[in-house]
Amino acid sequence: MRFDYFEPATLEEAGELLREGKGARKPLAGGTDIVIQLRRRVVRTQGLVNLKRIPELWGWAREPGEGLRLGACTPMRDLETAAAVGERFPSITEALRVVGSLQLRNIASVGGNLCNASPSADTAPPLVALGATASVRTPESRLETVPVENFFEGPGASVLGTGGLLLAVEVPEPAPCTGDAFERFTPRSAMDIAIASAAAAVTLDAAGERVAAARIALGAVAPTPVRALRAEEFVLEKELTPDVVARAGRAAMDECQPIDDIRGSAAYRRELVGILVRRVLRQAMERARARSETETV
Amino acid sequence: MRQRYALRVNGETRETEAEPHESLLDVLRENLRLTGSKKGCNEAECGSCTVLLNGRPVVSCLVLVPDAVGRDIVTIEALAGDGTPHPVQRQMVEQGGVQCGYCTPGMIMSAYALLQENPHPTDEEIRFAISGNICRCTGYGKIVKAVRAAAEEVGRAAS
Repeated sequence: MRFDYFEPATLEEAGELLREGKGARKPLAGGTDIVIQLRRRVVRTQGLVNLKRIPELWGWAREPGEGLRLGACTPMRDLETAAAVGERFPSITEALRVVGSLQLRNIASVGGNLCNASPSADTAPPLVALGATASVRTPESRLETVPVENFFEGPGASVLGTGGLLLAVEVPEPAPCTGDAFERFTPRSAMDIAIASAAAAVTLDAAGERVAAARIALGAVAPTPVRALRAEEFVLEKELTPDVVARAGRAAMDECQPIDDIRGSAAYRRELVGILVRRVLRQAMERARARSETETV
Repeated sequence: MRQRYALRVNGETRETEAEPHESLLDVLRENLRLTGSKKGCNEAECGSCTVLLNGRPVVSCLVLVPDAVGRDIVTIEALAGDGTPHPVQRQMVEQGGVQCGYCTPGMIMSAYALLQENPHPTDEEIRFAISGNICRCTGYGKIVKAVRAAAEEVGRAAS
């Protein structure tokens, strides 16, 4: 696993190093995916461009009323342990807590989880459900904002292409009476990869009864993380009764496109989607209700 | 290309030569002869290579050596640096938390990091803290008991 190694101090330098590499160099953040891929020789590269010494890519900020902004290289564990993140965006914390191990999350970054573009990336469904956007630097050095739901292009492929960089992820402040939740299914409770996952963000009306807005995202059941648009549309303006939640789960089962692989069959994944969507909708609704109570007091 | 690296390990600056693609684990074991950290899976699955980087437990098999430059590295060797075992180490022995011993250094580093941050953990917090350390011998019960006993011991010593 030999390669050239670069440690740029600025984004400009990093962009230049990647451009010079003409696709033969890869950006490195936490390295918890790419170092393993290089060792297994499933990926080859002539050079790694380590982004972790670039200050702009570090840290996160949460101002009440202004959402959450996190630098692409911020270690997962920093966000996982941040009370300010967990109390407003519990689905993000729930997803982070199940990625690899604690010793891995002290290295792995949220940006890297997205850029690796695995269909099962745990941080993707909550960010998609919460309507997060990605700040991207294109290979031509332009700055662009891309909704996270449009960031992925297929397994291992994103809008970044070969020379682009993910700079930050921004999660907008949720509307009042909004709750969110994430669930995934794995046979083991630690060190496992999702067979299927789901996240939901649900906004209730002022009475705390009917759904005013809902976003549902699924992981590991399509070539990229995807939204369950028909399920979202189905719950709109309805009360989330057990029957409505079950029917939303069935709608999501019909619109996902899972595959058979070593972790589970397509049919099993589809079945799981129905269950996970029911669970996250219920949990998101309960959190939205709890929030509407505290917000009106 | 081989390069010189100065690493701050267990409070000392150690100079060594390595390729940038080498892992911190390999450099600790092969170059610096700190063989307490074990190489189990080399893919972040098992946790036997756990060391602290700036106080936080990490799997050293996935840390490239240039990324460890400028950071404080603490390995299992530092815990009994003065010849006296740390309470976590002693309790692992006393409570029967050690069988084959391969996971033990990593397990102890995770537990040590937990107690630094949270001196009075619940059993659930202990289990969460060591959930990235695989033990195929003990069934974990005695390890959890050892960490709990070590926490009590550290607490008593502090009061």
